[in-house]
Amino acid sequence: MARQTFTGGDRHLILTGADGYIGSQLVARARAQGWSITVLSRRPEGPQDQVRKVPWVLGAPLPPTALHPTVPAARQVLVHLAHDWSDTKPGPAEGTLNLEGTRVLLDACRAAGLGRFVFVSSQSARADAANVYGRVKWRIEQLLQGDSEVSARVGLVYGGPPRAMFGLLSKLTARLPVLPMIDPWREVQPIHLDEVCEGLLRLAAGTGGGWSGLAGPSGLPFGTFLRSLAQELHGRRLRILPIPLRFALLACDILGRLPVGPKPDRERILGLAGTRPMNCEAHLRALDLTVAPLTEQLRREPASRRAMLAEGRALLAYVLRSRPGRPLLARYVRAVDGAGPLPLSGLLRRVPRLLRLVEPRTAGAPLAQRLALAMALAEASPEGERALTKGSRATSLAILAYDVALDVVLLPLRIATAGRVGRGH
Amino acid sequence: MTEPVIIVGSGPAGVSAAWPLLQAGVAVVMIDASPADPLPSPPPGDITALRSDPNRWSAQFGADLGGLAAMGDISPKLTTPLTRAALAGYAESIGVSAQDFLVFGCLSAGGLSNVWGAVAAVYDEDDLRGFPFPRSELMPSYEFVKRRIGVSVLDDQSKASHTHGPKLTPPLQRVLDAAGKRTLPAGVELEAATNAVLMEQRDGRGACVNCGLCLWGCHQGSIYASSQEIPALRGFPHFTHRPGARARRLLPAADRPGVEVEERGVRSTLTGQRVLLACGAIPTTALVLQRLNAPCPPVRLLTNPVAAMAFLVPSLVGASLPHRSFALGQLAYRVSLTDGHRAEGMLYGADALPLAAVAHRLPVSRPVALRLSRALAPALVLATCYLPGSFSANTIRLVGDGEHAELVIAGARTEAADGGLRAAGRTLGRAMARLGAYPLPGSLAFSPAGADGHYAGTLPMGGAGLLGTDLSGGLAWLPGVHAVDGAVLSDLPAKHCTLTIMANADRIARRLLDEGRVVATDAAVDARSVATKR
Repeated sequence: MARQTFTGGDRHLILTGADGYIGSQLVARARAQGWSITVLSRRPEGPQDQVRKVPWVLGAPLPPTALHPTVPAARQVLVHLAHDWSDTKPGPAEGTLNLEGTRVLLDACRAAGLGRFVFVSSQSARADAANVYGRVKWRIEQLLQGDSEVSARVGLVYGGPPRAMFGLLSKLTARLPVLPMIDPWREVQPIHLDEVCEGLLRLAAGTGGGWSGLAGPSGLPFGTFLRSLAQELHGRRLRILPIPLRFALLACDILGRLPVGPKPDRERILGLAGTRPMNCEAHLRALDLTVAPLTEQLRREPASRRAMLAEGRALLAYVLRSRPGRPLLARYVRAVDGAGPLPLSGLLRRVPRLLRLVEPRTAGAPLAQRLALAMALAEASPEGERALTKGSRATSLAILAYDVALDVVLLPLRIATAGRVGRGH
Repeated sequence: MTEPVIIVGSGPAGVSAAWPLLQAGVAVVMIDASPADPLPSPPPGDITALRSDPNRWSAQFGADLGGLAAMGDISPKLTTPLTRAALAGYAESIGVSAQDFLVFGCLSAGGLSNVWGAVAAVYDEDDLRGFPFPRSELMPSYEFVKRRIGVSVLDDQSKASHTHGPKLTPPLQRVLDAAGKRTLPAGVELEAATNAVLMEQRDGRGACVNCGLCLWGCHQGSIYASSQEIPALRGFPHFTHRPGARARRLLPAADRPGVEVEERGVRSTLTGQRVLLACGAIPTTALVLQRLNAPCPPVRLLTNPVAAMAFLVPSLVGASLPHRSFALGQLAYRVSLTDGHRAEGMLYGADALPLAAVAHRLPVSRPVALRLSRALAPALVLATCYLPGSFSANTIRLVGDGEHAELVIAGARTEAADGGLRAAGRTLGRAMARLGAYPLPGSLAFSPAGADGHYAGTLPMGGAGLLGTDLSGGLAWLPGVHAVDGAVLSDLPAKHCTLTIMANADRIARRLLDEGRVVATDAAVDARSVATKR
């Protein structure tokens, strides 16, 4: 039973998998674009009270109440995002749940005369994909026919709320100093969550069948992607330890049997190991969709701003020798002007005065440039003026003499680190 | 009715040429390429208030924080909102591409005088040796210009003769006091600087109150800018100012003297009795080369090779910063070099500068550099050191045809320049040490060619060839057109050239009047008695 009434315009979007990483963002974007939306959901009491929900489970046909009564069926679209992740056991029956569930839904949509069916597939969809997920996605794609049924092969999605694969990678790159990784040179084609959602909506509103690639037009090594996440979202430098696939799968099995500890997903490891380049430039052009460079998008993420604030707090506190106020901090972030956080260790952020041991001596080093910025902004702030006018002439000269002497003593250390701290990849 | 004289440019040269013409009843049309947006207003108050102002960052770097990007450049002045706005996009706008050369200029009314250092120096006999007329011909013009713009010699703090007017700051005062008691090394001369700064309120400009904000622009209007004189020029009924009208090309010699101008995208032709080019040596040269329209070897462009160095008065280290200050040149010095040349320069205080400008060069960690620069600021003396233009080896040439041709400037200085600057620095260092200001080791820094902004000598008066001009800045092959700005200086001594450019523009205008080469309008003659009471 539907909990909400219909809203929105003359286009109706029916969505499965709306609670997921892509789905929840897609709902928000579609609403903003004036679509009327119905969500097919196992959990009709979900948090998205603004959206009309109809109970449904994978395997069930399209509930008649999902359809908008006044919008012509030809102007109603179903975007099928739902995927049952329990359906991973390799073998002759692999993926039956997803395959059959989709078949039932698709047949119902055809019977109802829906204008369009968009199946959200994956870059790994291939008959001979390394993981069950890729093979199942491929098999489902084979069900689609004609110009009104289209599959969107989505690349490596990142950005937005830290959920799904992106959430896992974001968490790992935020914490681990060294990340063991199979085949870090394997090329991936990252695409931002917002871009995927926009692409799906354009596919929903468009025409044409077959498949369409929604991924970054040019690939980059997976290791580079992970290092970018670490630097741009968390202001950290990440080291990657390449490991053989067999070893990774063995470790995966062993960890899976232990009662505690991380449980890496064999499916995901295989999915990554089996990724092959996908040429989607023509698809993106047809959709008039621009996929922005990875670092540019990452720097717009809230996590990146938090990392920038942490960097500003540390650098300003180091220069001022006291806590910077919020306006000064905000100015620092603005002055860096979207250049992204520098990799700084957690220790340096917690104890900024340790920067004195590693401050680069050459003005051109990235950390030196940021420190010059912090110094100029600190000087031109009330807290800077306070710091510089503190104490009597004799006291401040005595402290200065000590400071200069300490700088001389610490010089060899700074020479030894030679500006390595704060340098990007 | 008699035609007007067209003056291209409203900078110091253009305004200086306009005065005698207008006073003699000659109609003048002054055009400049000033954009519609006015320059940002300088911050009010004084340096002490600015230091504790929570919005100091905005006054210092601009609301867009853009000044931060210019940090560590040639001069801290380039980081201020006013200077950035004044200089923005100039080279691209006039179509210059520069290699190893800095092109500074300002399209706004008043040109570069909006952000100049205001040093008002008079060339002596020695400086004018290369000029084709006696100094006596220039002196009346110097006097007229100085009276017009108002100049002041820096006040000794001990003298209470003026409540207003720029005053020496403590380290410079000590240097000057010591100079009165001790003998300077041979070949070194030191004196209080003369600046185009008002000591008394007049013509809508306030007297200098030593607010110390000179770097950010003078909210009192005490520092001269030629744009300040435009309202007074407008008082002449036969004066027309056309802002936003850019000279695109000079009319050919076969036509009457004139320029093709572009105003809001519309082209028109402006003709007159004569055309006086006063838009700055580089654009003036571009207009002439473009009209020459013949193969021309690269033209020599004179600039003053310049270096900077720092001195310390130890007893002032750690003193509190003075509440009032003056951030322009305070003392002028002259050093004789062994080869008969002279280096000249100005001594400045550092107390009113952003500390980052000093801290940038201190080889300690940043927190210490900030504190150390604060301790040093009241004790520092900064010096500029200029060599004569003969030590520069820049060239300027026009590449391509027509008005889309590009002006290419290649910056260089002669092999002797670095040695000359070093020698001057050593001699100055010895002299300053004797006066209690000790040179900071390693502080001598060379600036790139063009950093001085003294562009001159491309169309030298008395020079030979197609680009040589007569005593009135006129070109033999282009009758009726005279260059009256830095382009016509026959030589570029080490001394600051602006006042001389102004005096020379005044001299040329008077010469043209005396020779009857410009004539008063009928209507203007009647109005003259009213206007010349100034």
